[in-house]
Formats: sequence, C-alpha cells, structure tokens
Amino acid sequence: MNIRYGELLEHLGWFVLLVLLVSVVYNGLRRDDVGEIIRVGVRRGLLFASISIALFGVGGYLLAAWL
Amino acid sequence: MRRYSPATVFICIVATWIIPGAGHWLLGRRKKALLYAIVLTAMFVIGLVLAEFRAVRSDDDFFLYLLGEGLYAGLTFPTLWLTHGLQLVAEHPRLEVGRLFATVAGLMNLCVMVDVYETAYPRPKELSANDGVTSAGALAAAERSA
Repeated sequence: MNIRYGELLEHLGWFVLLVLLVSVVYNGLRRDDVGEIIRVGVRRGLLFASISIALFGVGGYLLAAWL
Repeated sequence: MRRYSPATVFICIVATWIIPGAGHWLLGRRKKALLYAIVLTAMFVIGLVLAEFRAVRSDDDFFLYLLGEGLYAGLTFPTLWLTHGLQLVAEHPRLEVGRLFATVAGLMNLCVMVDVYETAYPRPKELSANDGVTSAGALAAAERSA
C-alpha cells in the first residue's frame, strides 16, 4: 500500500483545525460566557476529532489493507 | 428582560449576514460578537489562501459551494468580484480543502444568525433535574397544593 504520509498528516491537521473552529462556533450558541464557549468548544472539538480519526482513519486503513 | 422589536432583530440578522457577530454587537454581546467575527473570518480567509484565492467562483461546478459561502456576504461577494479573473489553469492541490473551509464558514454564519434571533427572543428554560426538583416531584407538589 502506497501511503503519502506528508499529505495525510497535512490533511489531518486541516481536519482538526476545521473541527475545532466549527466546534467553538457551534458551542457558542445559547451561551454567553466567551471563556466557557472556547473551553467547551475546544474540548468537544478535540474529542470529536479524536473519535473520527480513530474510527475512520483506522477503519479506512484496515479496509484499504484488506482490499 | 429587554424586548427587541422585530425590525431591530431583522436588522441584526442582516448585519450578521454581512459581518459575523455584528448582530450580537448591536444586541450588546460585544465579546461574543468579536469571537464570532474572528473565528468565522479566520475560517474563510484560511479557505481562500488554501485555494489560492479561487474558492469563491460562480461557475456551474462551484455553484452549490457559492450558496454556502454566500451566507457570509461581507467577504464572499467582494471576493467573487475581486477574483473573478483568476483561472483554474494550473493544478491547485488544496482547492477542495479551501472550498470546504470557506463554505463551512458561510454555513456556520447561518447558525450565528439563528443565535442572534435566540439572543433577542430567548426560549424559556426547560425544567430539568438539575434545577433541584424533578418534573415528577414538581407535578406531585402541584397536586398536593391543589
């Protein structure tokens, strides 16, 4: 299997950044304290990104190796 | 609680469509307004830079993206006008990622517009177990008092 690790890592970085930004905006809805918005947004964003990478990254790798 | 007229709320939502956070600023939520303006503008600009300023286009292939990006009007339409001469002649390896960032920035601005409405007309808080009484307990107390 030919994996281009540089591009893979770059796209993972963009994915995590996008998820964090979206999470901060989304978790700001119906909240007023900016500190709490950032704290909750970053925490949930990192959790979402980690689970997504674990599921789709590892699952995709195994699927590609199997195929 | 301060009541806002529908005209005021409409103006705030239109202001948010043009500049994210402007509606919150007008409603007095200054810090939240700055947060939204910074985050959404950063997301949009990152998208533009990644796509080498070709993320906002009115070609047929880009039209659905333009619908999403257009929800952030203050950057989308000036960008469309300023970059309409740029051609897709060379390979742009991050074009898709850039379009994704710019489109998501526009779509998230729609959420911010909804939040402006909810800030002006907040929904009543739901009774929950965290409020100290369960809804079943509140119901029993109401029955006892009746």
